[in-house]
Amino acid sequence: MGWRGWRDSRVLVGLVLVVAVVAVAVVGPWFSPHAPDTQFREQLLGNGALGTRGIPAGIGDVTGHPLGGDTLGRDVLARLLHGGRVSLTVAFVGSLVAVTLGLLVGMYTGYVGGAWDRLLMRLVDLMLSLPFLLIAIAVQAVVASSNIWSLCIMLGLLSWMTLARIVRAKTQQVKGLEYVQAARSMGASPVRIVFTHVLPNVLGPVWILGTSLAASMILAESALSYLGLGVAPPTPSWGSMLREGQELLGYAPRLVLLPGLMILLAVFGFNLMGEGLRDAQDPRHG
Amino acid sequence: MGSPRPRVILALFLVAGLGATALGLCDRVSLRSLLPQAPQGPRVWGAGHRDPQYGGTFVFGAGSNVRTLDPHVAYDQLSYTAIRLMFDGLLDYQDAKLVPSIAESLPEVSGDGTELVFRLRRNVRFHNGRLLTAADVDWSMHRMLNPATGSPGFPFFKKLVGVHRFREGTAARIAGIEVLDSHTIAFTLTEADQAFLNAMALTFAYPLPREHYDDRNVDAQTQPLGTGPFVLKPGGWERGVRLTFQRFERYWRPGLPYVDQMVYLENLGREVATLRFRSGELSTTNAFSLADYLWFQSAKAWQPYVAKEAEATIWGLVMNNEIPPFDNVHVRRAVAHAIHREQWNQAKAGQLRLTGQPLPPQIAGHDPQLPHEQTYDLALAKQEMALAGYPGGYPHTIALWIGEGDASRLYGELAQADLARIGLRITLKPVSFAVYLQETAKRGQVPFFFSGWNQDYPDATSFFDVLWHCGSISDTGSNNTSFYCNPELDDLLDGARRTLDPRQREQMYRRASNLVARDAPWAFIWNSTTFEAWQPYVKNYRINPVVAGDYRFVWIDGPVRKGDAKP
Amino acid sequence: MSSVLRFAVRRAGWAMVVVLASVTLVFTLMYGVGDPCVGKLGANARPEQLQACHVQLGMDRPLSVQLLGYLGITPGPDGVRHGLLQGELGESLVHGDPVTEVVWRRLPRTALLGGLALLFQVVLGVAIGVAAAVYRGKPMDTLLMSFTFLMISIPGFLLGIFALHGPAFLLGWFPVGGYGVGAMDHVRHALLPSMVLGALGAATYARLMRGELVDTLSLDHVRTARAKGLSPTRVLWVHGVRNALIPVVTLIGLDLPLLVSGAIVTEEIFAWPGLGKLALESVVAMDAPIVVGLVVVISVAVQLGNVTADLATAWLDPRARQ
Repeated sequence: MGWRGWRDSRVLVGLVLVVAVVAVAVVGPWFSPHAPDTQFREQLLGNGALGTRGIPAGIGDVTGHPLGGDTLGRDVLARLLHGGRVSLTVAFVGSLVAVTLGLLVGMYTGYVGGAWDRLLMRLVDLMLSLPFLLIAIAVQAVVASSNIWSLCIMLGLLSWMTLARIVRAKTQQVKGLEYVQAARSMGASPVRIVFTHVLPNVLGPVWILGTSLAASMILAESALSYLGLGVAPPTPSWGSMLREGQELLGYAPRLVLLPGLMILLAVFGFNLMGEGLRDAQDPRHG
Repeated sequence: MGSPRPRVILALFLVAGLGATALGLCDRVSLRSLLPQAPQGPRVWGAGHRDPQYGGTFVFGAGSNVRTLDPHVAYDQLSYTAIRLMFDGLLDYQDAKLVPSIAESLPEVSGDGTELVFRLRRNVRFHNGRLLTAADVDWSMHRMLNPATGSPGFPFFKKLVGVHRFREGTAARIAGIEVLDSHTIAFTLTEADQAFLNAMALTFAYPLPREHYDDRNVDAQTQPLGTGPFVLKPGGWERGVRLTFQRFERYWRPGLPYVDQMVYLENLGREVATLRFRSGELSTTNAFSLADYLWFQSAKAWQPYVAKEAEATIWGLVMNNEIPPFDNVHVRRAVAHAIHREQWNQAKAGQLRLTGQPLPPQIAGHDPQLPHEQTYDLALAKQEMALAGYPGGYPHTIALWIGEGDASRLYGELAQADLARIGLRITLKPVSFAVYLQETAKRGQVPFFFSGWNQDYPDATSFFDVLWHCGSISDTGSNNTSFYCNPELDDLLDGARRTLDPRQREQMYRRASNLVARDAPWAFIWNSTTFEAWQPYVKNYRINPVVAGDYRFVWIDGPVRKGDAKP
Repeated sequence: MSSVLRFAVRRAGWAMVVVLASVTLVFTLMYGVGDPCVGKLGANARPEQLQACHVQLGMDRPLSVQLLGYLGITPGPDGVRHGLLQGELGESLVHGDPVTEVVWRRLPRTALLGGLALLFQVVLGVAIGVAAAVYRGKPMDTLLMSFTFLMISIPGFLLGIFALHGPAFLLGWFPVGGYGVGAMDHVRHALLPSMVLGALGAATYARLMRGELVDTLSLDHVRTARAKGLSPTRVLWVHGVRNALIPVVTLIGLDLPLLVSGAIVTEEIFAWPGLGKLALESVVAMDAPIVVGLVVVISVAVQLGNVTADLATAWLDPRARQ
């Protein structure tokens, strides 16, 4: 059902973008000319470059550093490549947590119903009324570990609700279908029904929501990093690079524009994919 | 259907992407030519008066909160700035020198240095209109030293005769404070204390009117009443946002102050502060991002209106002398010699004044030819690591605690890279300022952290006695956060504190500097500078090297907005 | 009548549950996981003072007891009940001002910012959506939709930084951050940040509006109306926009928490002294009473907004009214 979506060229473009960004983040670091935290102080900060009027050496100034250095003389290319890993890890793992939780809750409540259904759906309503970023910054400030995995889990725990709702509705719909009813009456176990009939049917919406979730995770991570509550310092992420680069915005705009562009590319790609998939599933919204 | 054609989106997107990439790559050259030009000079100018003008509003800001307006409780720069607008002390600082303020002159000191007599001016008025007398000074000292007030000021006055008995509650009064007549007050010390006069210039010793501060309905933190040139407007403090002060008409210094209103904005971020300053909305600013700092250094039109001033601070890496591996002096020395100070300064665009010893240059006791000055010397550092028994590097990872700001992060990452070269593996642990203060003051808690110390007054005691004296060590509230304890140093310090001859005193502190630099409880790295810019219409402003943000007596030269053109 | 009443009671009850749950969550976070006393004492805090602070705040008691005390169900450490039920939210740990006072002073500012942002996003969103639907399939449609797509994908803070440097500082069209003095000045200062805050919403609504409008215009009764010879403009506005507004209004209610999140970032960038900036400052300073108080106020406001949106939907949608 959802696979029809691949024919929409927006999905294709989005996919190409996402694959490109992911490739940059996964494969890029192997080809990275330098480690992200090596400081090339002699080459990129030396000769009083910052002290007089200069910026950390820019493009073409220094061989071997095609994008120049940042405030600490670290290779910007290497940091972009490694930073992508962090940002995309947050996007994928965070979405994975949210999708898993959403699927479990959605299918359970949709299939079983009853008191747990009502309770969990109430929880969904409740969590949707929480101010996301306020809770997120409070958690980050209190936990203060700035660990990437705790960040993923927190973002995931705050974002599963919409997915659960949609999966639940879909599950209820599938459960009501005649052939599923027939399978039930023939004594198929609930687990079997869920896996053979429900899961394939809910995967479509899950793909759609999963992609836009990934986009919002990237945005959330960069916002947290911008507010100074993201991953711990030595590790680069696009968001934290942007924050660090702001220090030199007037002098070396590339320190802000490059990570900003990467964020934009990734978010754009995921959004485009989600958009295309949705329209393919529900042509009404063309 | 009516869906936007994907190929068009793709094309638009590619164009936008390529454009942004090009902008990003070409850096300032192409970007500058595409964007509208930022103003290269002030947007607002002075009218050109030579004589001081009255009136106007002076607006300034700070990056954080003002904590309190109670002079006896305040212990941070931002609060000082506000408090000094509204209160006066017996003594004050002018260009790092003690000068009389409410006192007519510097006090008469007895030959052994234990008795000080202050004579007060007779025309000093509180904001409620009452004239100040010696009884106010007496009452205020008792208020500040009363443990119930919660003042952190006690250590500065512990040499007062009878102060301990008063604080324990076994004496109703401090025996060492005596009102001689309505405008004369005497202080008696247990022994000569060269820091006591400086202590009398701290806000802790500011006189307050009893009738106001004894009133149960008055909140001392937010309802200040002093003798200073400005009065807090009724309801003029919105916590965390802004304070508004207005001119006190009956101020005792004739003809002062000049401006009608002072506005002090809190929690103003660096970026916004600079942009607002350049747009003419702030009268002065002293918080700059690196880019802004560089810009102001080079912007020609601004040069008459900026200044850089050395601050009496010491910044560096603190090593807990009781926690391995820093219980080993060789490891500490290795750290002190592994820090590539020049490169740190390059990363900070030359804002730092590099050092390798405990006292900043403006404090007597600093030695330009210190034998054990800590300098960058990688070979020596590696040698020290070998002497410590770690020729191949220390086998464990050490956590370096840093503050939460961007600057601390930068320093942390610089230290990390430097120390990796001598085989010390460092992880950074960012913590909030409050946590950092609490934990570093505990024994055996934090092995390694990044720290700075700002003098309370310009004297060596404000550094040595607080930071490296065995007497400042305690289990949970240690001021000596490196837990460095050396009886030889203590003898030297105690002796110097009693010594009256300034030259002899300076020699003693030079010896102390050498001792501390050699034993390296800290890796000393730099003394900070403050960089400030003000609008051309702000007159009579000079950076006060002891107390930041001393804007009391500026005047405003009828601002004229002339766009970007020079007058 | 009784059904309306029942709805109102149920809705109010639910709102209370949401507020209560939010408070419990954040209270546990701030007092159970974190330690607000380290925020209170600030510079030069001595550990003895911290101990005293724990006792003074009643933090030596179990967390559940503290929470009940905060809600005003059981007495506080001083033996008097003063909590949420009594209309008290405690005092800031950093500066001691009553939380209610601080929040009330700042609420109008965030309301102004949020209100302008809402206005901006609804007006602009509907306008773009209608325009795109009218020109659907044409280059205009593509252009508008691509623009909204870009707005959805750009991080809010990046937009804010560029807005501050560009239109405000370089061009001088807007004040460079801050709040100003006097009502008109507040509005003037609020314009740019509210546009930044509303950009995401405007884009979302535009896309939603376009989708709904395209659907509605293809419905049977609309086609009939057109066939009857009603003017296209009239058909568009009376039959199209009005119906298409229903999901938009519902979305406004649901989007309020998003607006709060956006306000945190926007207020920080523009130095706008509202609830969002307060939230960030208080969280960093671990000023627990302010943070928990903010959550109370924000969740109440969000619930009120939701109810208003429900009512507006009912007013717009004749079927829902019956």
